[in-house]
Amino acid sequence: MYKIFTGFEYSRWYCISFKFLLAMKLTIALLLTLVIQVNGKSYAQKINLSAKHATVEEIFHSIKKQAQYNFFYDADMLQEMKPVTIQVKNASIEQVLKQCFDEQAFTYVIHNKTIIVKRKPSLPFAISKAAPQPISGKVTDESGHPLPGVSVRVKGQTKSTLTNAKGVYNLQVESDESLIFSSIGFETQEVRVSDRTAIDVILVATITNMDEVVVVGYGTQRKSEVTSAVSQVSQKEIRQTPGASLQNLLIGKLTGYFSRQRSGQPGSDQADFNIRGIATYNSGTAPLILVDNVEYNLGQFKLINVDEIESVSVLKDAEATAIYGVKGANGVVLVTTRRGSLGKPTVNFRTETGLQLPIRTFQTLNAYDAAVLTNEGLINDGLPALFTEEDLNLYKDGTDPYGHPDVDWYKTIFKGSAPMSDNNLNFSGGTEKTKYFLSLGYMRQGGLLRDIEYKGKEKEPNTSEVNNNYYVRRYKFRSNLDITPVKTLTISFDLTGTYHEVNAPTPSVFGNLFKYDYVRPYGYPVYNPDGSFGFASPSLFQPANNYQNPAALTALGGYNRTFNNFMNAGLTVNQKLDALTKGLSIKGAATYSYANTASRSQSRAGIPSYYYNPANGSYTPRDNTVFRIAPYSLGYGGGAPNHRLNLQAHLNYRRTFAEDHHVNALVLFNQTSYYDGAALPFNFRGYTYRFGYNYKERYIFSASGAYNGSDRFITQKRFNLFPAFALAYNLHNESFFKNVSFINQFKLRGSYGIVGNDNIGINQYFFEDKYERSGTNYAFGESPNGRTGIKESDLGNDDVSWESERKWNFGLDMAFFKNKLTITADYFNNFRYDILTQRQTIPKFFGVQTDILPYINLGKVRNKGFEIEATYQGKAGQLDYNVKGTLSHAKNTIVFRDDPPALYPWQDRTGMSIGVQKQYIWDGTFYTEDEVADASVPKPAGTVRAGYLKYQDLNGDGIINVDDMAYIDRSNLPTTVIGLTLGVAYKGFSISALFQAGLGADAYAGYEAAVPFKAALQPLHMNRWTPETAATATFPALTSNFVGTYMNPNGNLSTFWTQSTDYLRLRSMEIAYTFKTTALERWKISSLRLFANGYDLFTWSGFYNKYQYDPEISNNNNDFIYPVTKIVNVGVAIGF
Amino acid sequence: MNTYNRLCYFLLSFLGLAIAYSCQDADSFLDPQSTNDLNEATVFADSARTMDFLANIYSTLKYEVGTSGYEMNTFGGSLSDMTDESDTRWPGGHNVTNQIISGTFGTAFYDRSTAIWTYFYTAIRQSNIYLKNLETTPLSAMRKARTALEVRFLRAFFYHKLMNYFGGVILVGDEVFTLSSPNEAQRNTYEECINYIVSEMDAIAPSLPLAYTGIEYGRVTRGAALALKARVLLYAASPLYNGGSISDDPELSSLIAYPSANAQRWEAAQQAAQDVVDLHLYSLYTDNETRPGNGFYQVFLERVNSEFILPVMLEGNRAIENNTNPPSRGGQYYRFPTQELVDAFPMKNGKPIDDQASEYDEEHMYKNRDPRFYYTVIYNEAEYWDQRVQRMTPVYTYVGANLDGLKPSSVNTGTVTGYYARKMANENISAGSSAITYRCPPIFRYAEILLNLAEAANENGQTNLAMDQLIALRERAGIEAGTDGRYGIPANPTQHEARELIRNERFIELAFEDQRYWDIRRWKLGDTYDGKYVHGINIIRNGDGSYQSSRFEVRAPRYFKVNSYFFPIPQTEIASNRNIKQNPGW
Repeated sequence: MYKIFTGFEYSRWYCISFKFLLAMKLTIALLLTLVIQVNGKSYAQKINLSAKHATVEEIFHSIKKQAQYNFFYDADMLQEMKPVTIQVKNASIEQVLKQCFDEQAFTYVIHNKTIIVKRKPSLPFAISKAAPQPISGKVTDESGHPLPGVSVRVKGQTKSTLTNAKGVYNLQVESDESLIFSSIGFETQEVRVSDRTAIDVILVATITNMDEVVVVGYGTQRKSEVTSAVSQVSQKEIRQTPGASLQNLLIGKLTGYFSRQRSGQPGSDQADFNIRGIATYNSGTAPLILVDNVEYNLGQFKLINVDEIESVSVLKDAEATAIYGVKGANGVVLVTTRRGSLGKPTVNFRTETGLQLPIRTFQTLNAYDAAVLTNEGLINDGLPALFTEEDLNLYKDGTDPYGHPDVDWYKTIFKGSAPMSDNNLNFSGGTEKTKYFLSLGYMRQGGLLRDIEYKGKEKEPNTSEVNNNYYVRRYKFRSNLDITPVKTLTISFDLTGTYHEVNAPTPSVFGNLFKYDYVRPYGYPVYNPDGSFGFASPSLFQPANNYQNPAALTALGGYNRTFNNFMNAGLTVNQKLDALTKGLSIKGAATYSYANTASRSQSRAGIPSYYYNPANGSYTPRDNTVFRIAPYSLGYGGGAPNHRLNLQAHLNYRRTFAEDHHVNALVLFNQTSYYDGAALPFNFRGYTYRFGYNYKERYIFSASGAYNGSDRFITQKRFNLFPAFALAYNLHNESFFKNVSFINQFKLRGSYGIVGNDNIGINQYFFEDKYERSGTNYAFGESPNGRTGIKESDLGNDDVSWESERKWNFGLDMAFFKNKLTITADYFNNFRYDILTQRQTIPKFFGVQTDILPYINLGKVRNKGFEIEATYQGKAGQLDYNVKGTLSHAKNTIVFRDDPPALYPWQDRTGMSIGVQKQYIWDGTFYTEDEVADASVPKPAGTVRAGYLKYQDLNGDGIINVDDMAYIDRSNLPTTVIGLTLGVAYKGFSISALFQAGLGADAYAGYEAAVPFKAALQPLHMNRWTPETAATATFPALTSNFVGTYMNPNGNLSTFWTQSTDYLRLRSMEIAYTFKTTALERWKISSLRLFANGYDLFTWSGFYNKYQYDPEISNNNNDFIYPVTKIVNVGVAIGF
Repeated sequence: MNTYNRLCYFLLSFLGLAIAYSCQDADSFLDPQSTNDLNEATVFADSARTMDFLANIYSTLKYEVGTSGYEMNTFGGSLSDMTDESDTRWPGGHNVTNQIISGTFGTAFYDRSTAIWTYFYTAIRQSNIYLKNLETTPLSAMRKARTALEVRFLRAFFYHKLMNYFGGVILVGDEVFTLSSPNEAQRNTYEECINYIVSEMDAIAPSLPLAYTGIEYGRVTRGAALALKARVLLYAASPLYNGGSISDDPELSSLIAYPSANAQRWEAAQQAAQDVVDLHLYSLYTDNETRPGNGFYQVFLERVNSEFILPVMLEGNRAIENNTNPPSRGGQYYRFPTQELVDAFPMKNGKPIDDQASEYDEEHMYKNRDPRFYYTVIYNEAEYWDQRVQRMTPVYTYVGANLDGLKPSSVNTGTVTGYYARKMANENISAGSSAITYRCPPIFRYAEILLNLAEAANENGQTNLAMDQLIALRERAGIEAGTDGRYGIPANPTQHEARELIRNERFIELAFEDQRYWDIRRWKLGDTYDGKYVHGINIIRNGDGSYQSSRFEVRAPRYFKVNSYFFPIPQTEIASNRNIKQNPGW
């Protein structure tokens, strides 16, 4: 493993842009300054109070406001309480409460973040007590991290303290008393002192805390308040899967997240994904992606460093997405990045290194089998065989490697594994005034291309090595700063940058690698006897387009390198305006993002290869103008910069009236300009609102929405309102439910709203009538005098507006057995309407070409489905285990798209899914000799032989033709995705595994990937029909012109070719060991974790076995695809 | 507290300013900015743009569905490959050419049918938009009048094309449809369509100029209008249309043909062809001095010549070379001539190869043939420009020859018949070179008019007049006059013999000029071709450099059934308007 790692040629990776380095340097300097300022003050919630004869209630409110504590008390008590005069600064909650309760007949207990007020017990007599003894200890979490700020309290008393930065506390306590340790996010623990002077405590993290914070649009909510359908995953969970592209790491972990990973090529391995499937047949199906409220596109999303992520939330229903108005209909993905928290500076370093291994290598037939099948195809056509019996024998025994070679091109070009590594370093911490989080990352992913040796006599003109292998390198950095100059004001400054470099060989080696017209196993040897690269004998095989020996391309070819810079800066200012009215705050944010791409290439004009004739030892060049290795020539691709400026102003209000009435409100102004190159900017402006009310956390009502405007429409159609409403009912908060102890949560919720999608085409004003230059010259004149034609172009439609979607969502959140078991279930029914559609029923003799027809808001698609997420966290002695299952189902149906009435009912795609294919129905058999001779058996026109595919004659007219093609209601997108995570932890060890399945999709391979003699001959073709194997054949009879028959999937698709892509994958697995903190203390190490994990470790799929393509492949793919790779990875995470 | 307040107010005012700034242009922020300065109003308000709009209508004039340059670029393949002229390069079953010649009509074929229908109706719409706006354009009155005639010619030509594919089609007149126009039209009968084209030509021909020079050369002339009329009337008189409908349904029958035969239609056709001749503007381009048949070769290389009536106007180009040159010359080798075409050429003495007196030698079949043969086909050892060595060198098509050798029909890397096309190509320029020619492939040329005249005259019993035309063509072709001065034409052929001679002459004279496909159909020869193979030549090179050749069947037998005569009307057209009747066999 280590060897492979060092096999990287680091010395070549010198090429970081200078600007980037400069930017990093400055930021680091800035951050260091801030870090130095941090001092070691305590971390508890500090309270400032100044009141004279205030009611206790008022005091409680202030405390609640400042420290987010809840109070529990009987309303009657308040009457009995005395007014309080208090003046404290930076006091702890205990200090404040102590003062308040000093003269009262009441006392209090702090439980988690709740303060319960109760009457002081009247002591009938005094108890003599032993003198208090000093006690001290250290509080850590399960993985041994010290926990600062933990409240340590003597049971039944007000005496308390907090742990310091190292998790250490000191207290005076009597031996028969108990200590209570409590902290947010941890289960409270009670320990009897029993004469000890040192007590170390390990706090256990709370399981599914009701107070868990859920990130929603423009804010956060406690889980119990949430009324919408949101799924969320934390960094810890994302981390269990290794990989280079963020979207791949989310697969199986979130409900409503549908993905397809189409390729494994470094830099292009990211999965496409949708939220709750798709609901429009237009191309705009991508969800809105926001990283700390900054819009990212899919290409930028994949670059996000997991190290920077706090959580990823997926917003699914109308209530969650309506505040994004016209951008929300496809769902919203929110990425929240990590921020500094109060505490001493911590440094975490994580490094991991691994191997990418193709999930499966593409198998082609060897030269002998290929030659046999080639002969068979020719003989079936009544043509002479290409190979003699002697040829076949030579291919079989391999004794004539030059005259009768046998080359497995895949294995020649690709190796079995490629390295990758990822390294991250972050610093975080903070004081009252300044909090900071800084992350640096470096990722490197190598490619599977073999380093093919050039053995020729002619000298290579380049002395320096050129790396033309696939690779990706990525430098990432983020700094998030929060500055609080005064109590009510927070200024956040976020800066992030990514430098992403992708390398690929040029010319591309593999596009044609499995096309029979381009390479064949018997075609030619890799090397000739003199070391030059081999090429085909003109009498045997003439590669299409004179296609070069791929080994020569790999050994001597150049590269195409793209450089991608992505920078992002955001400034947010949050001002509390309690001075005006309690609970009011205002926030302003400006973010600017900039991306640029440039490329550089090295390529050769010519690479020689020769046909070697073993009979006379002659060498014939592939191209008789190429006899030398041309030197590299440099190419540059200019930048394609784009930038985006977003301005936001929020007005936030959150207040509780009369204890039980919780009100929150948000009003937001939002404006974006997006500039792509020199094109006109996209301008967007929106006003957003949210209003929430809940009564005793029992009945929750929420209304939200957006009033959005876009420059893509005419003035009258420019703005639109997207409203949503939601109701939730926390049944478990009802008094009659209190006694049902095993139910911790039982919440019903429902939402309805309208959300839009303006992702409807690139920079086009659909309302404009246009003419355009046709691009063709008509050259009148005795000597040419060309005129460039002008023609009618797009017809406009003034009424064009965005797509809209009505979304219904009903959900159920449940928690049982002390929150060990939680279940969230959602049902949704969405109806997308006003889908921009070009009318299909305009007759063509009107002379309006289909592509210039105006877009009209008339399409309708329904999208229904459900999601279930269940988790169970259990404990058996020292063994912790957890199970998490996610099930998402989404099925869309075209309701209307103005298709002309179908001539046959089976040709109507209305009522079926988006992306269905019209195809012949294979009846599962092949024509027999008798059927071929029998004119009454329906057959397609043209040549039909025994052993050919037999299709159903749907309209019964005795002939198989295009009328017999039917739409099959299966598309290329899975309708159901399932994820199952299993985890076990014992002491420091933990193991987790994630299984994931995608069901309900079909795919077929393109004709150049599957049809014999057009695609490489594959095991699939060995099972062809022959008179002898008629009973067991699974593939039709061969003909040398298979691609010219009616069986060719291109244009004559049939169910023979389409195949279910249902798959089950072991998406990821992780084994980790976390060291006990105590053991590491002397090294100043606060945490140490070793882990090994993997991605896509096993795949089960029928599709795979047939076509050898990954089941997530897109339809009708003709080129060889860089194989999807599994990753096996080991790493260490260390914290100081 | 003071600091705090100051900071607070500072930030608030900063925020306020930011918002105020962003809202200051609140009215214009979301106003769309125009992306385009071209629309109906701006185009027709400008004379140059108006002429450019007209140029685009002209650019619809192209050879049928092909690949590039002078050919319609809707799909691969060409009409030649769908006849016995040539076979296609593309082996794919998805390829439209293959679907037509093998009768496996897949989606690509239907798409093509739709594309053709749309292509010409789009051009008709553009024509009508031009006519609608003409009045308000700033063109001079004279130019307005003249360009209106040009557009009416083009529009009629597009109908002619549509009728070839579909029979009687929907005549839309001058209407520019809006999207709310009712969709209830029916197909006009074949007769109505013919009458429309003829009446349009009769109306515009007298006012059109006889010829253009200078930068206006290439526009529609009176000759073009008369030539279109001559061709349309010849087609209308032909067996498929002249009462010979392939459908039993009387309603359908009148859509695709005249309901009954009428011999007078041949007279009209003859007269129309004679009208072109009587203009005395055109003559066959002849040069037998340089070498026999050089005029036939040169006519396709010269932009302006005495024979062209209406060419497709191109910039300087290598279009023909690029499309047809063999691989060794860097061309795309679309279309491989068949043995049938090769055999159709007579000998240098004008006698057909199966004539005992022809001196034809199967062993040396390329020797002493009609000079036109050498300008039409590249055969084994035919010489052609080789850019690499800068001179003419032989092209080798024998089995196993490097690059250009005969290939199996399942690959598309070289000839599958043993031949490459050469018609119209400049032998001193290859696709791989950088030189260009200023040639313009003809839509109408005088040779066609003579053949039209010959065919109609023969049907009208004037066989001698017909033979005179063939003699004229053969004389120009460089065939030897012979002792009888009849260039191999027998002295007194019967009408039937003459018809065969005329058809054969049309085959070879107009090879690869978009004629054969329609000729086979209008002559109603489907049965002759159905189930037949086209042939190629399999040449084996012996060790001593001599050759052995044999004919072989290329691919599968060709398909020609009743549905091969017409393309199907697009399904969507019928689905949305049941008044439109579908063609026979579809």
